[in-house]
Amino acid sequence: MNDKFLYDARPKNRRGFAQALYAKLTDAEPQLTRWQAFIGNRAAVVTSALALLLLAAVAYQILSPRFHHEAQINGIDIYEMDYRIVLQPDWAAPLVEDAPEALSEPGESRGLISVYTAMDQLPYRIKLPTYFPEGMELF
Amino acid sequence: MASEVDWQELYRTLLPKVFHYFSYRVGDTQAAEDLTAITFERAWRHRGRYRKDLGKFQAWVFGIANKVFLEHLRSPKNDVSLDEVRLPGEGLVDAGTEARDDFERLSLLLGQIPDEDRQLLALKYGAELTNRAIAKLTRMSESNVGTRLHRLVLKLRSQWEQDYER
Repeated sequence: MNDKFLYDARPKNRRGFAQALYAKLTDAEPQLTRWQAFIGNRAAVVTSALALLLLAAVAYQILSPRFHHEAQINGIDIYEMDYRIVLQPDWAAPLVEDAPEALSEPGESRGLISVYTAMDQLPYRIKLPTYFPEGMELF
Repeated sequence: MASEVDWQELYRTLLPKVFHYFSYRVGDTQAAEDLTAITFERAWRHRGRYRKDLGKFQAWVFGIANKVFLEHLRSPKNDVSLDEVRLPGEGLVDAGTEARDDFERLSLLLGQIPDEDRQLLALKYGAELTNRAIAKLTRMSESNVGTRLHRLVLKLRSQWEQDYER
């Protein structure tokens, strides 16, 4: 099919028209000012920094020990750890003078205070047992 | 990651096609320039959507061009008085360059065929689209596009040659 004449007969587009239209198209586009570009970059930096900070906070929360210092009673450090109370057994001498002698053995350092004294001083409530086996008592 | 599109290069490639498409449809280079400008102004703003598929971008531009042409037909400015209507052959002697002369002759021939056929020719020889792309745009079958174009070209060439012999 000889269709060459259909290509050859097309008018030539003016170079001036093409250039003028391109200039119009590109000029009409909103150009970012230096300030907008700066703000755009800063926003990206700030967002990244906040994301890193959040990541660090989450990592600290996961990796840090799960107990914290709750109180100090008669020189005994009390930590709360997953709802259990741990008494640090690192004191040198018995802190309660009226502690039963039977509980103090040579080579073993142990400090005792009464449950009621502890209840008065602890920042949280302790539930006491309502039943004691025969021969046992709460002090 | 898709490489950055050279929109300037794409513009250089696409502009002549859109301009020729309108030249075929309206038969007037000044009107073709105006309609080309309107089409590009509409398409250019949203070109970023087509970063990954430039073939679709081209088809989309010609979709816009078709709408622009239909708006042009409906526009009140397009109503011309009888005094402005050029008769076949009129003005060809002083047409200037040969290409312009040929285009005016071709425009006269195109003015005698139905608009649907003229659109096919505009898409094929103006926009330089494939039969498949034309079929998609016009919602015709590809074979139908090919057959109709073949008949049209035969008819036009016959008239073109007769016109030359005069």
